[in-house]
Amino acid sequence: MSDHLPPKSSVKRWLVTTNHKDIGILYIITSLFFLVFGGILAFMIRIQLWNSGAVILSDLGYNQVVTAHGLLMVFWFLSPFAFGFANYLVPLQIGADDLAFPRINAMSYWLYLSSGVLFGLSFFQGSTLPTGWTLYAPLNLPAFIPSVAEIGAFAGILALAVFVASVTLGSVNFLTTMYRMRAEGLRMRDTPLFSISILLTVWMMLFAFTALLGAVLLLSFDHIFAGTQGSGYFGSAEGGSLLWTHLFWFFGHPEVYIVFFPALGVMGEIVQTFSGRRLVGRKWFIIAMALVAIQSFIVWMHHMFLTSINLPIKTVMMVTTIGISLPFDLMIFALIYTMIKGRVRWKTPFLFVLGAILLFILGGITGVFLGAIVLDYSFRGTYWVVAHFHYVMASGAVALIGGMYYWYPKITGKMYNEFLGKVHFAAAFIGFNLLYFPMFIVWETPRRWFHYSAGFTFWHQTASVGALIFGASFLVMFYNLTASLYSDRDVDESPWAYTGSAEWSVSSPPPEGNFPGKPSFATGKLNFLEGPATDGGEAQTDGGVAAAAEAAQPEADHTSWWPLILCATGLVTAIGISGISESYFIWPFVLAIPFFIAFVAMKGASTDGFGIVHAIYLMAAGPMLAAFLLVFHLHHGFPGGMFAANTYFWVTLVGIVSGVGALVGMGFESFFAPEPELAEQWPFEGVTNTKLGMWVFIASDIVLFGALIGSYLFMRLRAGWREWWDIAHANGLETHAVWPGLLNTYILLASSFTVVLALAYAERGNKRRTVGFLTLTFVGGIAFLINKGIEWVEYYFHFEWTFNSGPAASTYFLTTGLHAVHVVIGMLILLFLIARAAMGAYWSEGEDALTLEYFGLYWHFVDIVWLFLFPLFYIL
Amino acid sequence: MLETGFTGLSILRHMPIAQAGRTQAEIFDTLLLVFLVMGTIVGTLVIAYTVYNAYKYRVSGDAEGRYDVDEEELAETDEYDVARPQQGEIPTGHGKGGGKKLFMSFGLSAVLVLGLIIYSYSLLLYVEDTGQSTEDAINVDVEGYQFGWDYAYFEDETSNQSQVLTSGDYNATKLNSNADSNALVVPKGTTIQLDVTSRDVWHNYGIPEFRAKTDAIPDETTQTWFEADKTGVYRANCFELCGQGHSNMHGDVVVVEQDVFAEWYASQTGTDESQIEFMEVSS
Repeated sequence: MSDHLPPKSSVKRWLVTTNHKDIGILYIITSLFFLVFGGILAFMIRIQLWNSGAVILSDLGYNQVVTAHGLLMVFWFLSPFAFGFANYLVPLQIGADDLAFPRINAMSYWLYLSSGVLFGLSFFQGSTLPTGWTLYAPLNLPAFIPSVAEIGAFAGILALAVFVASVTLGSVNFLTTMYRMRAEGLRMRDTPLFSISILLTVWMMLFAFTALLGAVLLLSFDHIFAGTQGSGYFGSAEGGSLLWTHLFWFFGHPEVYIVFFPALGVMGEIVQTFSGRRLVGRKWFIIAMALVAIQSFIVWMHHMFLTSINLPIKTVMMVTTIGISLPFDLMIFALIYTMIKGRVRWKTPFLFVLGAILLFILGGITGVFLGAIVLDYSFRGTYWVVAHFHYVMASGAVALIGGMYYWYPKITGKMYNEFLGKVHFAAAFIGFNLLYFPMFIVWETPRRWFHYSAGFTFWHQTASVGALIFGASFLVMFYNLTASLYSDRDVDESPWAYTGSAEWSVSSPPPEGNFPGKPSFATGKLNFLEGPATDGGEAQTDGGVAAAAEAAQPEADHTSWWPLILCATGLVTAIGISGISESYFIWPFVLAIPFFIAFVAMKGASTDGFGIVHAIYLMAAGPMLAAFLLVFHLHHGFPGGMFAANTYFWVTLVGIVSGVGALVGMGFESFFAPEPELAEQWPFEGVTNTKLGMWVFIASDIVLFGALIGSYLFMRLRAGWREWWDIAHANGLETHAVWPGLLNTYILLASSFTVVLALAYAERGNKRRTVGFLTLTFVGGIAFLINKGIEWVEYYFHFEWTFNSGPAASTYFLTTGLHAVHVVIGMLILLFLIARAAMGAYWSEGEDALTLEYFGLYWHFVDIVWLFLFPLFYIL
Repeated sequence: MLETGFTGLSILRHMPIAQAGRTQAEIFDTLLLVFLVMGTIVGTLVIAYTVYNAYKYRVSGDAEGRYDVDEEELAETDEYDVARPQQGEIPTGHGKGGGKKLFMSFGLSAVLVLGLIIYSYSLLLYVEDTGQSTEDAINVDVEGYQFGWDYAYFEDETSNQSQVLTSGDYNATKLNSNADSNALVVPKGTTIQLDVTSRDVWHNYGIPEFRAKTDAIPDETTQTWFEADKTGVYRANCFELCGQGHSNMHGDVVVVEQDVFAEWYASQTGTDESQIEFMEVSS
């Protein structure tokens, strides 16, 4: 494997790598860049607050800066920083060679970088989001965003969407890895604390971030199709503003723990090592974390105590909120008691974690104040809240910095400079408290105000001085960590005493394949088994010449350009969408479809040999493109409409066409990641990695549709269940027919059946029927879309019941539209599957039909979603 | 379900602590003081205890050629009966201890937190309904807009729009020269009930001096109340980011003596004086 990867000094290595350690390093460095970015913005806030009134920023400028600071720190620094360590360490800690899907892991990283670049670019599109990081509706809609800021604001929203895509792929990857690839004898509860904290974090991420994706999707819909006041989702009078806060905080509160849990894991690891003691009450510590992870989904309305929610709901939320604070007490006490009878060494990592514990105690106590609703009423929207969550979130960051020093020797093989590390800690700790504690004293300052009472000036200036010290302390860190790379302070496996977890049993930095042999805990402690007999991925770990030559085909190849290329095209597409006008929105995507078909034909022919199926595809693509252009002509005029389109249209078109090309390229690339044969896989022994990954992905997709259906129900209940249709009719919907929906239900159910038959015949090696039933499924999809299309055309053009015609129209078009997009994606995958099946894949000797099985899972899921949409949007 | 579930709460509601006649500001001050005192005590104790332990069990000095202490060397002088982490171990199933102590401190903090919360909840119930349900109150509708506040007196009780006194109809500067003309005018010592909404985006209406605060949400109405115990001019700020003018979005609240208010209210065109009869002031 190492022969495939260019050396670390080569730039190419970092562009094509899919190795988890490389990607971990990329994550860490990129997130530190965003720390500096967000930090500079924070410093601009502190300068603005030097005196009451504008100092350096305009009103719009200040709103942009507070928004971008919050978003960058929460999304683009804290979580990715933690996931840099997770990428690097979790496979090492659980005894895996890599993550389950290395190429997808690379995609997660490049999507993360793309989203960050997109957000950064939004500043240069006039203005980025000026709405606060919570993006409260309806201020987040075009109707209330200054026109100069609209494109940049939408780009910021799209950046969030791209970021969520990255997170979702990462969650699927980590869950599959941790459930399927642990070393033999290592039960989940035995995995090191940091890995456990990451496991719980990704579970929360999977569900919380998909809810955010739902919210961002609705918001994008509003931006493209329904920007005026009183329309779309979040502008609607049917509780639009409240709907946003529900969706946002349903994500937003788990997000607090998503950000903090990895820091807790780091605290646990470092306190253990530097106290020379196993964590006291380890079991209870883990149970407490798991409780918090679950409960985090039922506390969100404590952010909404002053909205129109009623007293009983407030009471329930107060109880769950107080309930969720108690497990944290237990965890902190466990950390403190671990020091007792310990062998405590005040090294830099320990100092940072000790500091973080102290800061977190303060943050926790001031949080209890907010749990008392009467106090919360007055603290709402003031610097008390600002101070509290900075003590909590930034204490998490402080702990992660401790983790940075702790694992620095492991990652680099060099020891940092201890003296400079301590200087960094002292300056950071003093600066932190000077910065945030005064905010408690002058808590009456309203949030996001830079006009404040004259008496507060001294304390705000103290905070600004603290910010300078806190910020400057990081310069010491950057110098230390860079200069130490070139020092002669080499380290062996573990520079620290009393380390226990597996990453400290291998050299620093660890070898490419992670371990000298197959790791196993079967004897009760870590051993490395030798020999290919027990080793599924032997080609990776021993790198023997004979084995490598023999296993040329199934060997893990850890390089691929496609993740980078695909994510770059995604970035271009997103930039395009940010400024595309409503009437042109659909066209780049429609026009990309013939290109996709042509790409499958050409790439398929060059990979599998030219066959009749490729000829058909090529011959279909041309007329299809012509047909689409004809429709475009009827709509906009051709070529006049093309020339009238703005630059963003062309950017989108280029992005999406090259994007489908990259997708096809990635689909045909042979990329093999071996599954371990000897691994602890409870409770998923019976499934493959890909199948588990598919299940996890579908679970997240359920949450996405859940968010859309939930929004629909929320608005419909507010409007009145029956009055809903009256409003729709008043807005232009002349009639709504049930039977097209019923017909589509039958079509989809039938197409599910044909997928099952295709799989069954592929397993029997029957080419004709495999290809035949796959084609039949595709035809089912076409029938569904035609039927759907007639309905949409009727509503949209004949009744002029458009996307913007009230809540019933918005929810109908977006929800069934999202489902239709799922159908289209499934059909595009089908085209790929049919092309491959026709050339011998899935059914012939030496092939397996697993890919068809995974596709079947997806297709059935899309059908099941329809079974919910049909009654909700047609019958009831 | 809520009916029966809330019988326990009715006990809380009648706890002596929730004395009628207290203003939101008084309740807030008491509660904040209690929390600050408790929080400071607990915080100081826990932080001191943490630092004490970290210091007490400190060992220092790096072993020859290493960046940390030597485990084996230290093991010889180890008088504590605890298991130390070992390379490549499975961390579960070894040793014990600490569990009882852990749950003791957990229980203690739980009792403390729950006590504080139940206490504060009794005050919440007072603020939420006892305080609001008084008949003898002045009802004002507040509507937020980018970037200011509009007021309408007794709008809900009148069928005729011309009987409603709105902030566009009067000039509050005449009552107090320091106040804006469209300030909210209220009498001292009277419960003021506010129904708050918004015309455009999400705002938050708050009068810090009297601890009244509630969200102003388009197409929603939220309630809060306050009772001013002194005359003068105070501020009503916006506490939710609402656009470019947010940082400077505030209005004035003018508090006057009851008789001054009654006279002022009666002198405005189209007002219905019977609405403030309960104030029983001779004007």
